[in-house]
Amino acid sequence: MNNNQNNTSNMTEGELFEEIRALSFVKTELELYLDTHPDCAVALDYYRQTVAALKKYTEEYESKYSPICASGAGSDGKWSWINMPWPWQYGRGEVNTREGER
Amino acid sequence: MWIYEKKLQYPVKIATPNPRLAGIIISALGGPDGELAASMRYLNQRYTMPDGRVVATLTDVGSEELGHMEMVASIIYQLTKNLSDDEIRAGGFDKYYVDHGTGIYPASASGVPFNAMAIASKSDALASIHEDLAAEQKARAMYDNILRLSDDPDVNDAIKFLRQREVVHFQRFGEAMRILQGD
Repeated sequence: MNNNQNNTSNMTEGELFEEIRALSFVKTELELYLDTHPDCAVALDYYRQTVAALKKYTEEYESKYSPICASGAGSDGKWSWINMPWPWQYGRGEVNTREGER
Repeated sequence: MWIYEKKLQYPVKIATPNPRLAGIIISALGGPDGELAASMRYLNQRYTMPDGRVVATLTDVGSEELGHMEMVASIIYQLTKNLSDDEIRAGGFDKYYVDHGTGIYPASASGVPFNAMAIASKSDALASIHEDLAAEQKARAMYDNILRLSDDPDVNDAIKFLRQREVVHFQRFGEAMRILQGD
């Protein structure tokens, strides 16, 4: 994860997207761990922090760029959920438009 | 209920099309140890599990496997993007191509369409969890085989991620089994 988590203003679209992807992965991994270790207070605390950071980053990304979930679309009066690219649309003849994305 | 997120769990960006490799990696989608089998195995086994911790594990691992289906499909899509006729023939992709074009269709590399016999689901909780432990090992071995057959660093990066997730899921299912055994 980026060490400068509270300052997202100088991140490119791709860098912010990668932060969200990383936080999402941490969230998934902690969910699996907590499923079999529900009494682990350290993991639970880490999980709540991760969810809060993911929410903040996702809201910023969706307000600046494009929806990650359908519910993030429409605040600008446009149904941008339909916009390219979809996640698999990379490769020959297609251009990654998010600067800084992996 | 599920909610779609418009992102891959881990990036898939393949610079060089390779239909031969696509014809091998299709097994990770629709083969006996592929991601379609994995997600359907866990999500169908959940209902009769007697312990909430095990139900949650099957729900969350099964959901993650849906995301892995999307990653594998993305690999195949990118490996077969804009192929010329010569590329299709030279890559041995013609047998897949004749039925599906470059559409994503869950089948094994040997051409067998996805078969639900590849999964098992019983109300005997321990039998199902043993099935799952074996399934994660078999999927890990399949990804090892893909890594032996592939020399594309872009493909291998994503395949290594998927392989590592099988190891983590095996660990969680081992804990689920000990929960069921009352340890």
